Parts: sequence; structure tokens; C-alpha cells
Amino acid sequence: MDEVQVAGVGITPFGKHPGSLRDLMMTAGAAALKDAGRDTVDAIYVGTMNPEAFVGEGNVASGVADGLGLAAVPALRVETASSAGAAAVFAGYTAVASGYFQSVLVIGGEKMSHVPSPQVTGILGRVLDPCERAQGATMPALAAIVTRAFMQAFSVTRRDLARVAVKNHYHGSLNPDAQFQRPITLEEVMHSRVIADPLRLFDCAPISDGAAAVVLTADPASVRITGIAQGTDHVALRDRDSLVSFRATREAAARAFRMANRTPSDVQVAEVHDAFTSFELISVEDLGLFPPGRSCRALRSGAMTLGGRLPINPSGGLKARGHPIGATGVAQIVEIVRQLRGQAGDRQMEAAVGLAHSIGGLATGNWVTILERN
Amino acid sequence: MEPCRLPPWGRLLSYTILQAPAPGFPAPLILGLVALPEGARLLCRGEPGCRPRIHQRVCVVQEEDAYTFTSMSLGAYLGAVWRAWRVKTGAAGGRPSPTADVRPEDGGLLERNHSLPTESTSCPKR
Repeated sequence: MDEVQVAGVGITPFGKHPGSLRDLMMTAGAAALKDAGRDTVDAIYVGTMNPEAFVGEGNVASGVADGLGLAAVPALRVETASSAGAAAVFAGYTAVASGYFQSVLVIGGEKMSHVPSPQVTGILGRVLDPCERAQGATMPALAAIVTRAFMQAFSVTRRDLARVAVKNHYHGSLNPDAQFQRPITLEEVMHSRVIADPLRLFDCAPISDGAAAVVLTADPASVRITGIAQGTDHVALRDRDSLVSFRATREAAARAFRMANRTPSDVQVAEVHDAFTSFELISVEDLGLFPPGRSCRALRSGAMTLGGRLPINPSGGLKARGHPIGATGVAQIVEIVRQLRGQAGDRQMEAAVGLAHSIGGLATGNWVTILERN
Repeated sequence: MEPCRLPPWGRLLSYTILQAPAPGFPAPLILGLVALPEGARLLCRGEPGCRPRIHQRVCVVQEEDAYTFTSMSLGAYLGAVWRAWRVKTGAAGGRPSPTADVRPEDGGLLERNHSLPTESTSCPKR
């Protein structure tokens, strides 16, 4: 297999945008091409979770390629629910690694802020098991059931969860592309309204618009992908082996680390899928970045904060940077690339090895990507 | 897969109280994952007003496609024991439970399996 390099990155600010999904993806795609010093690529891979439901548009890959002036370039869409962006990066990776294409532009995006919240929840709920949905399950409800089990099993408090949100908002305040750039307090998080007990509003990622893009090539660049893999699981919560750990993350991490010939202790910076505050704590343990049952202690000690031993979500994470669903998996990789290149501004850490972790659905299709500075 | 009948009691593995349920569901909505006998599990609604706790013994009532759990009162427990006896002896017309002990277990759901997969043939070689 050829080595796959990241030649260019681009991202829109995340938040509420009046423009269309296509506009957002074209903006990010054009920025990544410019950063790579290219006019064109061999293919365009697009990751977006549900443009049909959110914006009533289909055939998004063709639309974006056309809008970029690249209608003659092969284009296709990839989807694994909320990890669609990471899946699109994987698809682009395999195309370049196999030598089928020399260069691929990968764009992830979503436009959803114009849709009323209850409708957004309904659309997101379509990724769940239909029987569990029929009993009233929503994504926050099942995340809350997992959260309560995790809190019980490892003596995690609501204050511990709130610390994740506070940390990520502090990181977001240093990120000009973040949806929320205001630091928040523990009290604000703990007193925000209940969504699904024990999860409060500030324990949950926001609804956002935005897009992010990377150019993958076989040509030398400053950063390369050394490991990339998916892990999976049963859809229904009732069929899981554990309520306090995601098998999909453990499997993706094991495969990616083996491929990269690395261990979790080599990782110096990581973007982790904090759709809910508890998911960041569960995930850093599943990834092996912190010992089982020890993530809260690490968080309290500052190890996961910028300037600490292993900063988690230096961008602000899904919580503060924002979560336009299909964009997130690519945006995480954009942040890691910037960290490795020394282009992370006020968030800059010293790192040569970084990791991005994306969760699809209720952790049925998760991705781990390991990137290294050349 | 073969359908089977199970005694309608179990243990609550975890739960939530949802303030903004989907249209058509009452708010607040209690949802819980119940461990039934023989390793089966079910996501059910909670009876409105019940006070769920992890590890609580619960009864599950089925009405068409809706499953509801309630905390196990003495009357509910006796009723559930009676129904389970009928299931076990075939008196209720269903297949008897093959195990004498119908105590539900959580099957390790509240634990993390720390082992990682040791070998994967689908891992790409570099």
C-alpha cells in the first residue's frame, strides 16, 4: 500500500449559517484545495449524514463537485451515521493507498440549524433500533441510560461530567472557528435544563452547520495517516456486551494502533467524540488513553486540558467547536493536522502523533485515525 | 431464532427520565433497560410515577407492542411468580423455561471488558 499524506485542510466556522449545505461544503473544499496548492483532484468523497431529511437534497457528491467546478471529477457519498465524515476519510484513504487514485478531496458537512430541535432529534433517532425507538427511545435517552450505568459503575459524578463541558468550552474560546467561544462555569452546566436525566443541556453537543475538508495524496506532505480503522457493534442497546464501554471504539482503536505500529501511550493529542460529556470519559478509556476508571481523575488533574499531559479535544470538541454531523469526523482530523503542523494558533501543543475518534450512531460504527508528523 | 416465553420479571440495569420525548409519548417519559431471565434484555417504558433505581427488581407488562416495567410490589411479585409457574409447567400454553432458576443476571453489562481483540485478519498490513 502507498502511504497516504494529508496535503491540505479547510474548515468553515461552525454555528448557524444562512447558506446552503452545498455552499458550506464548497467553501471547505475550496479552502483545502488551496491549502494543498491544487486546482483539482482525482476524486471527491463526501460525508454527510442525512441531507435528504435535513435540507431535502440528494446527490450531494455530484452537487458539490459541480459547484467546485469539478463536475468531470469522480464523486461519491459515504455514510455511517454520525461518523460519516471519518468514514469518508477512510474511503479516500483506501483509494489513495491502493493506488487507484493519486489524490482525493474529502469533504464532510451538515446543515441542520434551521430545523426545529424536536425534528432534529427525530431525524437523529432514525439511526437507532426500530423496536427501541417504538418504546420511545431517542439518542439522548439511550445516551443517558449508558451515562447512568457508567456513573454507577465507576463512581462518576455529575460534576465530573460538567468538567468535560467546562474544559471543552475553554478550548473553544481559543478557537476562532468554534461555535461557542465563551468559557462556561461548572454551575452553568449543572443547572442547565434536564434533557434526559442525568444528561443536561450543557452535557450535549449543539445543533450546528458547517463543513470541513482534507486533501489526501500519495505525494509527500507534512503529515501522514499511519492508522485508520472501523469498529462496529449491534444496533440495539439490549444486544450490547457492555453498557459502560463501546466495543466499536475498542475494536477500531486496536486495529488502528496495530496498523500504525503504535500504542496509546504514543498519542500526544486527541480529538474524541464528545456528543455527550460522558462519551468523552468513556471513550478516552476505551481508546486506552487513560486507565479504566481513571478518566475522571485525569480530567480533574488537568491532564486532558491544553497544556496537560494529553490534551483531549483541543478544538473545543463537539460540545464547543460544534457538531454539524457529517463534518465532525473530518473536522477532528483537520484539528489534529493543524496541531501536528504547528498551525493551531493559541491552542498549539507540541505533538508529533495525534488521534481522532468518531462515533457513528449509538456507537455502532466508530472510527479511529492516527496521524503523524513527517 | 426460536420464540420463547419468559417470566415477566427482571432487574433494572439502567434507566433515564426523558423530559422531551418524541411526539406521541407522554412527558416525562421513563425508559429503562431490564434484564429478564435467561439473558434476555428489553428496553421498556417505566410506569409513570414509579421511582426507578439500578438493580431494582421490576415486573414487565406487555400491552400490544408496548412494554412497561413497574417496581415489584408484593402483589406484583406473587402475580409474577404465579405466571412464571404456569409458564414453567406449560399450564399457560407456552414452552416451559428450560432452566429451573429464572433469576435474572446482568451478564456483565455493567462491567467493561478491558481486553482488546488479539488478532484481526481484516487489519491492513503496511
